[in-house]
Amino acid sequence: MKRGSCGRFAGCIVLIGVLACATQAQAQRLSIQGDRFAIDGSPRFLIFITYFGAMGAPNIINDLHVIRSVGFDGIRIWPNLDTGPQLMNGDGTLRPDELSRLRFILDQARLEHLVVDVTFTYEHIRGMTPATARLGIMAATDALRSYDNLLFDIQNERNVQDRRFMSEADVARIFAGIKAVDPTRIATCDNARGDDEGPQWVADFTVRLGLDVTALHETRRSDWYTFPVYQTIIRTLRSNGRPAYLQEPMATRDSFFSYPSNDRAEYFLQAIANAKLLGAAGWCFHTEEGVDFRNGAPFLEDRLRAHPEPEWAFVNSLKPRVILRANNGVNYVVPEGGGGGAVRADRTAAGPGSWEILGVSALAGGPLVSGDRVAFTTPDGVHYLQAAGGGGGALRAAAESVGGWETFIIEKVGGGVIRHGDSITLRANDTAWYVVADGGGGGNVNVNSTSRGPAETFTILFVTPHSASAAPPLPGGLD
Amino acid sequence: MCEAWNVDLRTAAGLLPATATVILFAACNTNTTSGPSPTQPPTPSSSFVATFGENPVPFRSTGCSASILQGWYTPARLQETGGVTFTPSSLIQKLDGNVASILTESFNSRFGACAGTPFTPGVILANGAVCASVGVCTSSSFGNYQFQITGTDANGRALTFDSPVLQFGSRPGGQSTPFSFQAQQVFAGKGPWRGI
Repeated sequence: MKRGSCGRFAGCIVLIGVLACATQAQAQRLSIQGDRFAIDGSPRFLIFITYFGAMGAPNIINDLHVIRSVGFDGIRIWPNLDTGPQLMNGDGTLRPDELSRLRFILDQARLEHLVVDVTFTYEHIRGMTPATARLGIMAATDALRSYDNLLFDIQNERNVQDRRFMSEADVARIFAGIKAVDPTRIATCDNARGDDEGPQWVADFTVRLGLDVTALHETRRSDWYTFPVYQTIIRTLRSNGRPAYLQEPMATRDSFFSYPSNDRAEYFLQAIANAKLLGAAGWCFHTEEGVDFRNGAPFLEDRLRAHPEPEWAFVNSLKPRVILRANNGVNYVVPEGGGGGAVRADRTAAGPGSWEILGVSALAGGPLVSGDRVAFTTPDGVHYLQAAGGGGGALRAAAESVGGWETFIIEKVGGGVIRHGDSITLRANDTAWYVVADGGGGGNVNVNSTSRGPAETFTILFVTPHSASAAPPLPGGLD
Repeated sequence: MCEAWNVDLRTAAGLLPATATVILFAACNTNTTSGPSPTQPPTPSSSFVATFGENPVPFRSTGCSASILQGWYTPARLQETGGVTFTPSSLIQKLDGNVASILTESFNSRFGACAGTPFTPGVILANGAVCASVGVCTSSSFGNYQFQITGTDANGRALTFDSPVLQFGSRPGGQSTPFSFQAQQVFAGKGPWRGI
């Protein structure tokens, strides 16, 4: 069967119209709160994926739906990239058809609740100079004023001494131009090898130019993903009070260069967990699979699947599925019937089936970290675990949306990233009520304990790809 | 939602007509109370037909549970045929005729709704049905499985029902695998979004 495609954008005009109406009700707003990104007013650790070739991607609808479905919060695109239609002319004017194409991408991203990092690359436009890049970016700012799920990156790796180079003065002029057109547009500009230059240099660059966000491209050394390396980088970046956005960490693969420590998802899982733990605002999964769609598989999903490591394993980690084993070491927490009613802790490892497998998500995004507010979905795909009455009663699986009663705080002694095999407790939202397996397992599950002992302790077991390595807890712990 | 049908629906559907074991349990056979008066119509009680997707069920090296991949498992359906709602109070699962401590579970955490069938948690509705995935996930060897439910029907009769025996196929040599907790891929097949 021939796959549907909107790659030829003339055929998408009707669809664009439909989407334009649909997206109004589903828009999300990107903003900044202190040194965090926020979505619709709530701080969130944002996970992006490199999708530079969006303008030439033949299956935008499918690709963005997959990207959202697997758990990404956003995409990073290059609308001037020369592997597809290019947004700008050399004189800084916008090309009408290509602008429509970009709007279609942004509409679909908004429909999927995806944030879009729109990074400009003036070196890809024949005849473009920093001066005409300023005109083009200002024109794009005006044309895209209605989208509040975007951030702009003025120039990719502007400090590299080749055709990418753009002086600080030029960056400052373009940033001022953006703000003159749309004061609310979030904008930054990135530099290559930011950690090699020194994260302090990058943090100072952001402050010197008054940029909204500090965007870092890493050197890609062999220990790039480790806690000590990220600790040094992120703490320094955050010292300027702006969101620290790890925009280009290690690449999963590269056409020109060979990098270490990038062939397994494990590196990336540790990196993203450390980034969130240390207070980064966002992190991008930097894969080359979304860069050039002129050749190869037309669907991003197929491109990611083609690499079980690291791409597909990492992608499958973003929406963790877990089992909660009671303290008796024998029984698992199980929503009766797979969800919709009571919850017990008497499922066994020897019993066939999957009703004990729960989806779990951190409400503020990213991998699970001690202290996160989380929600659990049941295997029926419909319900959420719920502290009946907000706490003080039974644990139920009857809710169909997430509110206060369906929010739990996951904690482990010493704090840090929640990993496979960790002992954790669950507390009902802002209450003193802990989830407790009566008798330590084998019976009912309630949310009516005010102590944190063995019966309130569960072992969390991941059935989706997960990091095996334990990062050291933060000094003093988190709880 | 019935997890059993989700595990291997096509296999189960294909084999069901040929291999399903159907046992009708007459309540009078298991109820030890005195029989009805000759002058009064008998009080109806719950009766059940239990079916397995396959019997015997083959040993499978994957797909049994998240924590133990291999074992014998198949969908089970318990159909109430007496027209009386039944409230189960306990479930006993047996391996080779012995109560299996490794399968100590409540009825409600093992049995749930059958796809497309009305279901009320905690009871088996009159003429309704409940479904489950049954068997055992293990690296050990067993020959058969059976479950037993005890409870009370809507007419107040305390009843116990034994399922037919589910025979296990022989396990190929060398397939014993130590306990392992292996990560699974979320999207084992093509994503549903492909139809767009």
